[in-house]
Amino acid sequence: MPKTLKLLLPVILLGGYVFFIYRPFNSLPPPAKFFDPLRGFLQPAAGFTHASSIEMTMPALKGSVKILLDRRGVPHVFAEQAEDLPATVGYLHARERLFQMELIVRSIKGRLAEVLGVAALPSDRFFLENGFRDAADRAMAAADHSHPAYQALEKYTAGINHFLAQLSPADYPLEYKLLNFSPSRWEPQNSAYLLKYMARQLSWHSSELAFDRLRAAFAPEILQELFSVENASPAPIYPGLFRDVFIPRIPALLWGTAGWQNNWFQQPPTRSGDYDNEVFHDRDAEALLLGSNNWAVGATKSASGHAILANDPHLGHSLPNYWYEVDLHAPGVEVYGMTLPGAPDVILGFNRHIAWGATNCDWDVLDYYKIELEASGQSAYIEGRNESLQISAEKIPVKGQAPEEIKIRWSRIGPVVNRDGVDYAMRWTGHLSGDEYRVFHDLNRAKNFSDFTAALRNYAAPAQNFAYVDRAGNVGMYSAGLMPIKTAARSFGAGDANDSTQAWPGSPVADRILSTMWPEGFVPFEKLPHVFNPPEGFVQSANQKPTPENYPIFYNWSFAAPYRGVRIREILSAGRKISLDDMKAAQLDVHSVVARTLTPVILEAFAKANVTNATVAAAVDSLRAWDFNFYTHGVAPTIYHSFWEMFKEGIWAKHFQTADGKTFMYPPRRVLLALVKEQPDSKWFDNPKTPAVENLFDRVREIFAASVTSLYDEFGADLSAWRYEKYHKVYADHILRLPGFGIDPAPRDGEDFTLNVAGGREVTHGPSMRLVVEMSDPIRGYIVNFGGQSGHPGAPHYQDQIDEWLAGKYFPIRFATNPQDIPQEEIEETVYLKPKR
Amino acid sequence: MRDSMQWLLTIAFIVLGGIFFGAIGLAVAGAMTGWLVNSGKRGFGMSAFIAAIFWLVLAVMKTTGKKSPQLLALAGSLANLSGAKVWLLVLISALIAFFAGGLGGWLGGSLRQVMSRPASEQPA
Repeated sequence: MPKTLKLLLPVILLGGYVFFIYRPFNSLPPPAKFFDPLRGFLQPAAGFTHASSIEMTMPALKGSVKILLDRRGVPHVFAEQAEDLPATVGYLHARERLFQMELIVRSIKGRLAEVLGVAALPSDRFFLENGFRDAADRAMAAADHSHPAYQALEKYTAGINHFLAQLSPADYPLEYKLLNFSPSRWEPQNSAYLLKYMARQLSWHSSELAFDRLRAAFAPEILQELFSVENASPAPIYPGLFRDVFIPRIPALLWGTAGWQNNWFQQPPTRSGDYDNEVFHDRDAEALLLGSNNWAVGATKSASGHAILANDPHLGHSLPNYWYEVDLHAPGVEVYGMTLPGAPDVILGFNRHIAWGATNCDWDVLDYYKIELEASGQSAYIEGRNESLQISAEKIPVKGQAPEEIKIRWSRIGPVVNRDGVDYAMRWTGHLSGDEYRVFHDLNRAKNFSDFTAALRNYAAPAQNFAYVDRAGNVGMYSAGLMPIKTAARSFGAGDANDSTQAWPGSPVADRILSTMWPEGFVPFEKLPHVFNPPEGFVQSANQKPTPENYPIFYNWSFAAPYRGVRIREILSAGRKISLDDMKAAQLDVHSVVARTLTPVILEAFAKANVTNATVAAAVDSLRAWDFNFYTHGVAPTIYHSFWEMFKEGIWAKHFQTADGKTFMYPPRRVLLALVKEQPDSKWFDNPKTPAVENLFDRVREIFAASVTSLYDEFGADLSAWRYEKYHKVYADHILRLPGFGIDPAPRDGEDFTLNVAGGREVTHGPSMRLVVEMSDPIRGYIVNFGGQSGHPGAPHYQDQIDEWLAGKYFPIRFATNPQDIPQEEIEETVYLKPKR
Repeated sequence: MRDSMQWLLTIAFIVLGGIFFGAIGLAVAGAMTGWLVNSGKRGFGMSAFIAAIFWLVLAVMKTTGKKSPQLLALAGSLANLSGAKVWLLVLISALIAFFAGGLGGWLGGSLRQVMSRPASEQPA
């Protein structure tokens, strides 16, 4: 063989091989990096496991910090200086949840496609065109940078970046290795992106475009009947009168009265109903509303004489979970609770003086206005004037292909977006500047109800019902956030940007009517629904309509179904005093008020019927002895739940589905249940596709038999095999939906309307954590997180709390006063952070 | 040089190359081994063998070591991800090392042979 060939062959082969193994393949990382045992997937990320002791210098610190991580990975932080807490939390967040934080920030900034490829482009377009990033940037620019809360953000940023500076590629979290990119440096405004992300999760919903489609297809009387304003709630959050906010001068059109609503439904829609469009509105819009529970009892209602608070925020289940638990101590600040990785303060929790929890308000704070763009697209007609739009060109980097160019357009009303081929300007409270980072900074340090309300004064979005208790035994609730003063029309269809009579806050019509009262265009903070030490001794909220009928301000047409609120009220007003254990039991309560209403209807439907099918008869029998509790070992819950799922679909699909299978928005569940209770012969129970005229009981028998047949097909003839645990399961994916990194589907008790909420058959959202705390001395409490403290797949604390969460167990809270309070055997790791001398 | 010394040096090259530079380090260490043994074939064989064993041992230690048993669970999750078995992931790791070290060894041995002039061409 010639000498040159003898050398050339290995050179070519080795060169080709190295090129091959160091090159990514589509979405897969370079094999040489990924399979390297010292740098790839087998090399655990920094923070994956906890060493027994670490000591390091952090230049951002002013004093020393000692962190004791317990057996659940919860850090108990003891800092010499209060201003060092944010940097410490930043360091811990980065160590445990770096990728989660990166993903959220990239979502809001429209930079997901840069690392995930073209599949993430629709998400990037959505967030950029809908103004999330711009709104967060503006909020941060407008922030008071001299306020200690902003200084805390800078310290928090320094803590994260200190961790990043020490990170070598071998220590990157697994997701970075899979996606083959490096962590981005953290900036203070990233915390604002996180808050916009949460605002989007909790308050970005609107029925207006769905109503426009309904109005184009259905008579006004039908909409009036089935989509009526929820004026009265069986268990409002604030059952007391609101004389102090009653303003007789507000015209009726602001109240959402029936007469007004009917007129609105008779007006032509702002667009024709193009039912062939792919994007139709969700038929079961209520199911998408994320809910939560919180309630609290004051000293007079508490068995121990100390106020007690319970909170379980319902969010989508994912791993890692949203929450990271901390116990923070420094001179002047001692606070315990759940933080959101990406922000330095405790969002839900307690300090030495007060405890607070939050639920979503479900106000309608997102409105659409149809907008007519001028031919060049540079301006639009708004309230009779041709106004220039603020247009910025944006290039979205896309992994593996050329960047995508988009234009972001802002009008005076808000971002201009296109929905199904129609241009709209949107108005959303989340686009307005709020000081939420400051709110939680102040809440963490609040000592009484006055401090608590002073902190909430700066809160904008997402509107939340904040429950409150304190060491003095007081109890309260404050619904905080921007509540726009607007006509009810804004909930029942898109407005017209060019019509000055339809405007939102800050526009002429709102000014004309309301400027003498509330010139800001929002309900003043003092007039928002709130209560302090109500006579009944407790407060409760579960996303239901907050106010009774006499509250004079319209803020939404429908809310989360009120039945969880009804159940909380049943438990708390039962006459006896409430203990910490009662609060836990209530959070785990699986008694369904709706099943209690509907099951007798099922039994009545079959009472006089001749049931020939033995399985159907046995299924009916199993409901007779049922106590309406959705336990996993029960059979009746399976039978009832399967029926309910088919019933709500079976009744409405016949009326609200087009011939080609597309659906309109369905009426709210409260309306269906009202028909069941009050109008069994309603025309809506008739199946229009049969010649006979059916009533409620005919349809119940038909749908019940069908649901039993489907269960028979799935589980067999033996009813004892129809246990709820086999039928109803909880699912939680990894945040990138990587198979194998989520949990295995597990049996789940509860249903849509139980306090221990578990909607649908495949449960993908529910209590993201459970917290109960008694303001005794010492403070006692229990907590459990869905998942665990770590964000690293496979790490010991990635999902080590799932079994307890599923079993309805809690971990006792150890709110230390000094490091010696944590028993040595409970300490997994000690981290000493020292300032640079 | 005695065989045992060659093996010891090969192990040292591979371990150091692998620890500090990963797969590319294995290739360079392989080239040094090939040069040392003055044979493309022998360089390939020794380097490939040691490199594969080195990464295999590391991978097995990572997945079964007492301090990080949870890595096994992670590897299992990844195996679900790819539809393969856990051991297959470890084997892929060893295979990458095998060819990186081996091809490096072949190159090093061939290079030395090409560069060293035959005895007939040397001055008397």
